Amino acid sequence: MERPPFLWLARRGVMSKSRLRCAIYTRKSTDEGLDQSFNSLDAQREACIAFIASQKAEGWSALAKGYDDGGYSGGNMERPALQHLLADIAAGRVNIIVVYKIDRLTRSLMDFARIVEIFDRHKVSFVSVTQAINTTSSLGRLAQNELHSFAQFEREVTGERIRDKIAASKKKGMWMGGTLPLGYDAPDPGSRSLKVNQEEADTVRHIFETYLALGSVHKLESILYKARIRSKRYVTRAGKVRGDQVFSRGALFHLLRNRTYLGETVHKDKSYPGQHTAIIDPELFDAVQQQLDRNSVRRRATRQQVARSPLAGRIFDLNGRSMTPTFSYGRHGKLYRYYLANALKHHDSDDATPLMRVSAKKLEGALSDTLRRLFPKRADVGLSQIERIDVLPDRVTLWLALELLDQMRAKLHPDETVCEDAAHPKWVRLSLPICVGSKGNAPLIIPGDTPVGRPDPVLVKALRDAHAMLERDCKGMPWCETAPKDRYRRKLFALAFLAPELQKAIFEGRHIAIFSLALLLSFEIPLSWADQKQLLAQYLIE
Amino acid sequence: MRDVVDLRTLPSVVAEFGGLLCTDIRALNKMPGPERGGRDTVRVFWKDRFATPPPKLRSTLLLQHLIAWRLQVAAYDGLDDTTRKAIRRRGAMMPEGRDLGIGAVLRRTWQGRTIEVIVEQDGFRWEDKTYPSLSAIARTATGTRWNGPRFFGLRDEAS
Repeated sequence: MERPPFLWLARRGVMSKSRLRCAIYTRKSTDEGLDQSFNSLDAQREACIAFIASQKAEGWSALAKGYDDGGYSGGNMERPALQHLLADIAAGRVNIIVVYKIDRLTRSLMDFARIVEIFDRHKVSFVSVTQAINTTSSLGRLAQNELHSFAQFEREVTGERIRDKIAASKKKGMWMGGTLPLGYDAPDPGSRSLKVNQEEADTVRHIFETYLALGSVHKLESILYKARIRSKRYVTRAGKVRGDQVFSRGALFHLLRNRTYLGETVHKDKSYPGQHTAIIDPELFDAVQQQLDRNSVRRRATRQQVARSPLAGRIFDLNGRSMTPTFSYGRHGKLYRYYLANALKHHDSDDATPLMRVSAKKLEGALSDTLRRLFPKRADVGLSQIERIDVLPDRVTLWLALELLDQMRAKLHPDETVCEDAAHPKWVRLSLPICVGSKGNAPLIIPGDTPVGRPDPVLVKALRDAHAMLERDCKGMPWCETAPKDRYRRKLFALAFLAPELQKAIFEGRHIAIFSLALLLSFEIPLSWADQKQLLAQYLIE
Repeated sequence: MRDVVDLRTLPSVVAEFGGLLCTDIRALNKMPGPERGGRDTVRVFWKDRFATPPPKLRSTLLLQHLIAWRLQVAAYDGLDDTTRKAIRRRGAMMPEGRDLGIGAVLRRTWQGRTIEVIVEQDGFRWEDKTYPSLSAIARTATGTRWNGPRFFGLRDEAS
């Protein structure tokens, strides 16, 4: 140390002759390229001890305990040794803090201000071995702040450099980490290109093709759920298992839009030719993109009329599941509102419980009428006073405030019951015989015992078409001036000359199931009715 | 060549000459194809039989069919009225629901009422009246136009 460093001592009553305990704080970040030479923890400590020794006359002595932060960034204060040091300062065990350079303590201007504030509060001095820092003078403070501005600048530049490097690498098509897409495995060590996982790649192609066929991500979601196709399973560096989840619609949209499958590397909203192999053909990918674009809902910015469903959130179905308000427009734009059960179920839609739909107008009307009858003097008791509604096939149960119990009791009809519930002491349960559910509407069909013929619509139409080609002469006899142009219709024409009994049988459906137009046209229709009947007898039912 | 008999004017006589007609039709079947001048032979046959010029049809097969039809209609009678109406009509031959068989029962609860329909030979019966279709019953019962088969659950509702 050729130049004695600036000290700021004694100002706060630190007696120069008494023993001053010096804590040495050292720090080294992981980023080795950032710091210049002479930055190892030991080297820092050595310099500090030498400096303290030079001040021995002033009563300085180094604490045996070292405060060493190896591998911590100066960008924040989340450093164990620093926290330890601050705790010791608070406990009054330290008089002077010695650091090699000021940026060892912190690189953040804000943090530095906080640290200095703590030092001030505990009357602790602070010395930088290689830099003349004296916070007692205005010039010293300026120099100090400037120093920190540069330290922070350097830190920001480093961040930019890393971001630029990632952008440049992605432009070259490298895989720079992140969540692995289904269909690829992480690159081998030293490599930067994704490896195709054949089995998963087939799954991805299957997903793309299925979506193209279905045209609906909603349907795709439930098909994948039933097929037990799940998202990419991977193990993080920390050893945690991630992925292997049921595909949500959002994840599927992301997958179907992911240009990684075209062999490209995506960076922000741009994509570049990647180093990995594509697993989706561009044609398939484009078709899927077009379908997604076509199907995307474009919401207008105008204010839409909102159907108000006052019971929303408080109405529950037979199974205790919340019923969803929905609406549809009838003829002439008339609004029909409903409460729908099971609407939120996607996956287990093959549940035996049928979709139950309750007319909102009917239910709300019936409830309002009942409440008005039960509380004629209470205009405030309306639908909003109902805490909860359970819709059963033949009844509706309401939860009402306990205080209303006495008023309604006298007015109840015999089939209306009210009871208290120990589990919910604030409410009474009112059961009303309101039947709004459509659960009992499932139609019943009992087949008859006498079978009837089932006319084949294709044969019937063919026969009608054949007759339509035929003209009639003045005596009503079949007549034809020109035969149909194409072979098929000429073939069809012959059906008009089938024996009357055969035509009747076709119209009445008196034939076995395999008798079809294709079968009939495969025969050369004989001229004689007797021959025709002989030919087709095996297909007819008497 | 035999004398020309106007078959349409003499159906009863024709019935007696059934055997003769069959011979005629066999003769038609054996008639040579158009490539060997068959068309002219068939046209001569037509003129002989019906005393009118044949249609300007170039298809021998169609001409043969027309002749065969005329001869056989005269002998055995043609299409009955029901079939003729069925040919002229459009749309399905049978109202939906009939294929359940005679005696089938369709029951549905609508706004608390039970509507029960029985499939019969000549339509659908509901409350002692017969209706031509399920839609007609649904409309009468509810006062609104309904798709009858759908109302009675014949259409598969699950998409």
